[in-house]
Amino acid sequence: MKKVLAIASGGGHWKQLMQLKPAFDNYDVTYATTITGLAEKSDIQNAIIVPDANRNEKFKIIQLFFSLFWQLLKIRPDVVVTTGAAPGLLAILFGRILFAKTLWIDSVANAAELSMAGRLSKKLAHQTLSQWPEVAASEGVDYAGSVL
Amino acid sequence: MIFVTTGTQFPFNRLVNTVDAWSSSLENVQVFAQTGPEGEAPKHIESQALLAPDEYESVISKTTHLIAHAGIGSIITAIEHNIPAILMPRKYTLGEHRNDHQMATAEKFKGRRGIYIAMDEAELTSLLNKLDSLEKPNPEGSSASPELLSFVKDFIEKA
Repeated sequence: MKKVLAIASGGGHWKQLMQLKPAFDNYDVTYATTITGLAEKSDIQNAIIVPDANRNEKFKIIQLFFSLFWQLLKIRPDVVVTTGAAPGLLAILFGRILFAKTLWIDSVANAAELSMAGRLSKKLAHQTLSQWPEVAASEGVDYAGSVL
Repeated sequence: MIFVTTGTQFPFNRLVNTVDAWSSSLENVQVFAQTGPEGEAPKHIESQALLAPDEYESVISKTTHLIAHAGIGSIITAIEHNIPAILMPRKYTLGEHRNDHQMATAEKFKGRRGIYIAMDEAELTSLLNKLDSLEKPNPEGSSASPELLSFVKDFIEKA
């Protein structure tokens, strides 16, 4: 069975990942987020908790870097799917190193342009999606529906 | 209960203070605020910087109206739980976020049933004054669009 890592920061990114939960149900999926107790609210047990970080928090990014790389080494996913933000981008990078297929779904919050992480993922991920057709067209990525 | 939330990342004092001032003249209105890390505590309404997932869930179950920043988490909460929401976007120029994406989010969701956009404090107060007439969102969107779900399944299948 395909092993999937589905990862998103707590808050809105995680809520969007949960909107996608039906797509993961038939696979060997591991969920990862940044807030303890959040996954249990969606009846997910054994989710991985990684440190949160944004691009202004250098030390936390280093913590996240090592924690996440270790987790990916253990899981060895075939597929990495993320709705953002920083932890998702790093998971895409590590996923590529470990030969996983990687999918970035840019947050529906980005209705005018891709997020900075989304722009980076254009170069990193196998597939980058925007949830707005106009943004997809202007940024040269694909549109395939929305979480809302 | 009216639930005011600024999300989990940053404070949004402009939002909380406007609701605080509005509620000060009213009796019998129950308001609770999640003010975000380092948010100012409001004077008239009960508040907490950050709610744990359990606490958030219990607050949401009692919420009749959601007043929030224009964050996607708040929009999904409103739609999922069928709660009318008033959203005020954060402004980059006021140092309220790293960029102006909440303005774009607010533009896109303007006019969606059950989602009300306040571009500034005056608009927020006038929406608060007609709270009882706000419609609920349609709860149909509680999972992603079929197109996106099948795209993701397909992506995994072909990996």
